[in-house]
Amino acid sequence: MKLLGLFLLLIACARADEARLRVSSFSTVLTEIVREVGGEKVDVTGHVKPGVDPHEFSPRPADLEAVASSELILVSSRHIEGYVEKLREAAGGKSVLLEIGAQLPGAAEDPHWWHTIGNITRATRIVRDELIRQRPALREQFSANAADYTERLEKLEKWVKAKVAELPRDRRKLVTNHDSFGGFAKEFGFEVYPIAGITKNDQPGGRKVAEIIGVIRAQGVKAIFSEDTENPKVIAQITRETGVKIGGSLLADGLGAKPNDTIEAMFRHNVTTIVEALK
Amino acid sequence: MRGSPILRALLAFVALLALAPLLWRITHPAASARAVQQPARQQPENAKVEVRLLFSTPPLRVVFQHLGRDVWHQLMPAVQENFSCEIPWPKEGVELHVIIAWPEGTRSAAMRVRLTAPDGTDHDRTVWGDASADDVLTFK
Repeated sequence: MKLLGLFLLLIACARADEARLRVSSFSTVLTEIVREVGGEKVDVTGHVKPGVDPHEFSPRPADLEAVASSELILVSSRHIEGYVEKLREAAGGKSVLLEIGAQLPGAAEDPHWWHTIGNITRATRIVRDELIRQRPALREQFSANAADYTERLEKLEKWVKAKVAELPRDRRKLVTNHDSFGGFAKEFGFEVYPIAGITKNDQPGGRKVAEIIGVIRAQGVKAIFSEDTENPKVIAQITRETGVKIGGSLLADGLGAKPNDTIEAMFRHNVTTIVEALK
Repeated sequence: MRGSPILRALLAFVALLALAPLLWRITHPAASARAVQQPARQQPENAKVEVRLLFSTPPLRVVFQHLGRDVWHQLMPAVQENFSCEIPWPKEGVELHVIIAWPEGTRSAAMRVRLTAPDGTDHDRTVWGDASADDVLTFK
């Protein structure tokens, strides 16, 4: 009798494990979203860790092995993850590859779509719908998790709006290292002057730097923002020639290292840094 | 040229040292201009803004904030309220942060905000909420 009970328990465990959806995520932001929506019913491998520059990340053989055994692969945009075809090949047509950025407004112009709560909420819906499609029996659970998460995002959005409202609209000039805050700027009335282009390979020439220096002087920009170790020489030249201060380091390419390793922490860090430096 | 080689080297070094500031200015033209301070920002002057409020349900409390500071607040306001305040109004516009608390259980309450900007332009916005509202209104 005991043996039968143990056998049934083992079967139950095996079935529960079967139900866990295997997900490979190549975006720190999407890793959080799918964990929030999927809860205990998903087994997520976050290949790009918070604090790692996704522009520099390249999948290793172990990542591709994990992809081959995943049912769902999440990438943010082929402009960020230039290795999408490699993932598709590794998956061998057995799993779904979702390129979230391709389904979001404005992501074609600026692939850094995660800088608006609106886009995070849209991405949450896309992920929820895909999880339900793959595990229809878990529809209620995924929907409830997504609703809870969206409610938290709404609260965060209120905080973001109120914090940005502390900054006069005529001081909303954002000089950043690379072009990654287009969506944020559009939503909150900032003008963005990126030193480099969309990708970090688009490095600025002398004319571009002179242009930025001109803008800083003409617009009376109070601070410029760096991203970790990018372009330290250019940043130093600009601060030297304009007298502008460095307002701080922004998390442009996804979640940062602890304690900025959540979407909420990323927003709170970026918005506070921008507002306090430009006030 | 006579004299000890040490003395000649010393003289050459002194000459180079004297020329150093000039050489620096020639090779770093931008740096010489850095002493130029950033132009002082022209702060927009305060200007009078008139606001007329209309509530679908009288709230318990209303707060209007500009740049993080209260410009008007009222406990138990009437269905209609008017106030004016003086705030800077740059050409990029202004944002007002509105916080409203209605009685517990209130559903779909609204506050209509009609604002006359310093240039005489009229703006009309409505804030909705269930028991409370917390929103930022942009006027430009």
